Amino acid sequence: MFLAFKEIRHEKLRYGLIISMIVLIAYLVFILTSLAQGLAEENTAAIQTWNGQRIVLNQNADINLSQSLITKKASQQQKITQQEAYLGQAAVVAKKAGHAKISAQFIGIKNHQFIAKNLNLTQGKLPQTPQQIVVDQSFKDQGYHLNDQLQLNSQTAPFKIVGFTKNAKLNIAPVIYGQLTAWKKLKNLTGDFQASAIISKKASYQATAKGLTAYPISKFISELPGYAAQNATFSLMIGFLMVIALIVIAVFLYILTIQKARNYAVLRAQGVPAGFLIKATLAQAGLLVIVGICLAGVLTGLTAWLTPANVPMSFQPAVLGSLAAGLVVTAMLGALIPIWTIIKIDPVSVIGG
Amino acid sequence: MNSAAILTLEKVSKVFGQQESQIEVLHQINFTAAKGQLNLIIGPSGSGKSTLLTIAGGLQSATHGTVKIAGQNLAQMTAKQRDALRLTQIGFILQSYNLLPYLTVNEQFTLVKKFKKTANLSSTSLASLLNELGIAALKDKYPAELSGGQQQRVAIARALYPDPPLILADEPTAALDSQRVKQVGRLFSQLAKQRQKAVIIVTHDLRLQQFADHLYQISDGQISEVKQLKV
Repeated sequence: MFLAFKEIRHEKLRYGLIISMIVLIAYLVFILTSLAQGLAEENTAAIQTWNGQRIVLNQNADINLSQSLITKKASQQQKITQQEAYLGQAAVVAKKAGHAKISAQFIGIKNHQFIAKNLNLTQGKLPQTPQQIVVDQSFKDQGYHLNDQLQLNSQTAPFKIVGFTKNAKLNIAPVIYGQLTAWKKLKNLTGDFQASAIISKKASYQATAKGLTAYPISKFISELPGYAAQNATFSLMIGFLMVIALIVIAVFLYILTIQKARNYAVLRAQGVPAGFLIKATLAQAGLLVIVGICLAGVLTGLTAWLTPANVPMSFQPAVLGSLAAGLVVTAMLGALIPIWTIIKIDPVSVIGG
Repeated sequence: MNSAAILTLEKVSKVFGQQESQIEVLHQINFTAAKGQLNLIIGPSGSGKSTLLTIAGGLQSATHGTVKIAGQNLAQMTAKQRDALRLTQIGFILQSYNLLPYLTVNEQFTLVKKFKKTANLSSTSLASLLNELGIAALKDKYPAELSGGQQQRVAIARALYPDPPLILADEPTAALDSQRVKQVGRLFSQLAKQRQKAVIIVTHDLRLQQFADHLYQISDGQISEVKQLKV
């Protein structure tokens, strides 16, 4: 640590540049992760609040909620207890004079079933009539208030906001909760249909009716349109940045070690154990990356503070902390090449020059 | 064997390469260095003097023969034990001083203290050594702020700081003018006499011979003690 600290302090410009590279890489990793996390949450936040274990969909729906319809006949063949809830989904556009249009997901539910009961209302009450709705908090951020009337799609009868709820996002769109009868109207369905899906809290819940299939919620989430591809893209970018961090640290430390090889050879000739120099190199890599990560953390904190609420970013300290730990491990791996150089230093090389 | 002998080489040979390409750089060398004496080994480039120094310092193994430092046979030691031996028994002073550029003079000694926690010179002895070498006022300076001569004296002080009984110096007067050669020669002679060190200098600089207690000539891997060499 002594050598590492003294060298960094003395060579401020050189190490300042290395640290700024690490800051930029770490900051990019943190921001991309927060963005990936935010987008993932906006895809699945509503599903998470339902607390379901299984979802029953029409088997021809390709595990896609918007393609699924469950008939009344089929639903009657399913065992529906307090652990199950019907759910109808429709893509809608919410309009109100003087307000921007909002693309949303309408979720029809039944008030006596668990999804409605577990709904976390920040304001207002559950819909009591088909023309009443509870909307995501983001509507409030866009200027909507309780008792505002809005139009959904081309429905002429207005819907009244009777409540606000948080974490109601599905497929990166805010959710509007209403009654199942309203969902049928929005989908122009006849009375033959019951819902889009059945959500069950039981991990063992099975589809007993012909034409229906039950899936684990995790499978359903992974099949959300674009969800897996989006996550894979972000994971690839973050992984690639980690590799870049490793290469940058390895290259810089290697060049610096080569420059110091003669000094190190003299120290080795004097009997300084290679372990002492290896520890110094590891300490140097650790110091550089920790300082870089701390500065990137401060920048990320500032970004989180300044980012508008409608930007889909989620800053989770635990996730960012584990990424920071990953970057430290990466730096240590990057130090392996210079360490090998130190091990191979021949003290004889400094005699007789 | 001389009881004050710190370094003993008995029938030491060093061979590089194999079969037809074999070169014997040192041949059957017998050599002893005792406390309080300055030994000067003079020879031209390629004579084997640097190889002799590396073998005497435990940096290379002899192909044949025995090397003992403070009574310990180097051939019977592991690399780690030889590292520890160099740390406690040998001070190297090299042609290029190779002070760490990012440490002040004072920190060069702190570094030694970091890996050798015992038997360093006391702070009083270090202060007296720095005074003796005329570098006490330079303790907060970085190597880049020192002249070549000052850097050399810091390198000497660094080698002496762990208080080793054996000092091995490699071409310490390369590229120095005659006046500076005399100063360095006197300094090494004082180190041997006043601090009771066994000092070995390998060089091709004949101007140092007046300071030697024992003068050796090395040529084609063979060493012989001589009275005087022609300048």
